[in-house]
Amino acid sequence: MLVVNPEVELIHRAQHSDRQAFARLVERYWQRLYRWLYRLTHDHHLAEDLAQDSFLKALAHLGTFRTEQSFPSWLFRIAHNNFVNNRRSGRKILHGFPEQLPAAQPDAGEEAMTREALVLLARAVGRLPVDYRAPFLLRTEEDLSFREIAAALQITEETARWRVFKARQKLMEVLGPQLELE
Amino acid sequence: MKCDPCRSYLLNAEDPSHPIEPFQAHLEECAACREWQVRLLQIGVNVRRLPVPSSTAKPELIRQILHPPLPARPSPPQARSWKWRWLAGGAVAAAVLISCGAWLGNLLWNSVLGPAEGPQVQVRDNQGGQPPPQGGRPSRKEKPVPAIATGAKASDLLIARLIQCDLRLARANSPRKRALAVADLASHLERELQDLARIAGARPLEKMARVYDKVVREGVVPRCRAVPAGQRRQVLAPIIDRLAQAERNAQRLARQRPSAAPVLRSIAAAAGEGKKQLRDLLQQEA
Repeated sequence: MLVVNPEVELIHRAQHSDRQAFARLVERYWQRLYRWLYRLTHDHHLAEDLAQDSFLKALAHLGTFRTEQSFPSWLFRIAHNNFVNNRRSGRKILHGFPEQLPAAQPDAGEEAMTREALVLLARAVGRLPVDYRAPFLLRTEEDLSFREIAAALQITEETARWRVFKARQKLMEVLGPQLELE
Repeated sequence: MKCDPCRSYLLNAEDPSHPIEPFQAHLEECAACREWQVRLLQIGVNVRRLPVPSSTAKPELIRQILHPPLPARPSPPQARSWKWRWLAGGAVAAAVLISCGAWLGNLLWNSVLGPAEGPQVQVRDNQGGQPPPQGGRPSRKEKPVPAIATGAKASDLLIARLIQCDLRLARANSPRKRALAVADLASHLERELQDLARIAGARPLEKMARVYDKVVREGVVPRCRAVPAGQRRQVLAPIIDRLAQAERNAQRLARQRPSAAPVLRSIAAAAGEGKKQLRDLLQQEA
């Protein structure tokens, strides 16, 4: 029996002008795309703008998407292009770090950092060069493979791997000594 | 195996929690590298816990995807173009005067200004070159809703009225109220513009777009600057959201209505510039 991936089904329907299907894809990917763009821009209004525009561009060009491609990779590629164009246009990108941190999560477990360490982590991630931060977050937070990251950022897989390596290395240099172990 | 190659491998690995055999063997033997690996994994786990401000834009995007604006109406035949233009101009002016005028008139004449003596009103930039109505100073008996007029004079009257309103809003009794009032004016005007862009051509919109730009540039931004520092974030954040939304709406509509695209893009630019300036203001404060 042929099992159809529900996401592929949604994309296929959206490609045939089913707006409801595309809306479900937006539901599915909004938070990921917005979160990633927020981490790149540190400006939630700008991140919202870029995310909205990315989805609209995706809708407009959905016909060019081939289902053998990775959809998140394709979507993040559109978002990355938007982000890069926005930087080129000279709009100000903030480089602060979040002022407020979430309350401690009860299920955070042993690997949870202290609040102070989270502040340090936020600061350290925010200070990574954006060329390292973008792939690092795609790998760590969005769980994209190196191949998908390469497609999203239009770089080679080796470059994607190298940039994630450098990001991890820098974070370990900054944070490694401050992380408390159980 | 030494520690360095193992650590390099972990930094380079797609999933550092599942190292391949030679490195796994080293980790089993070397407590320092095991500890180092735990720290590396901790970073990954905790990056996912970093805060992200909540976003309110998704429902609006989904709404727009599910309910796209109506397609543009076909242009009327050329032979009747003068009549259509006249009617469109009249309809635009009438709709805006009724909706904006009633709202603004009520707000200004009854709530903000009241029947007391008003300041000498001067129209700073009368786009049509027409003098403001009654030389600028409205009488106490002046009706808040102007008579419906048509054509260019109606547009000029509308511009004069809106700029008067902009000035008079400054008479609200606190900087916060003034900022909110003028932001409401901008939002209201922008909504009217969006609605009218769907049914009218570019020409009737051009003057109104300039007014919108003026309201944002000379109304919203300076009044937001005047809000005391302690209240700024609370007052400005929703205004920034509204301007961002206005920018997006106008850009989207510009793509859908090529005939009115330049005007709509100018509206988007006005909203975007206002948003940028307010963000910068918040940023400076931070």
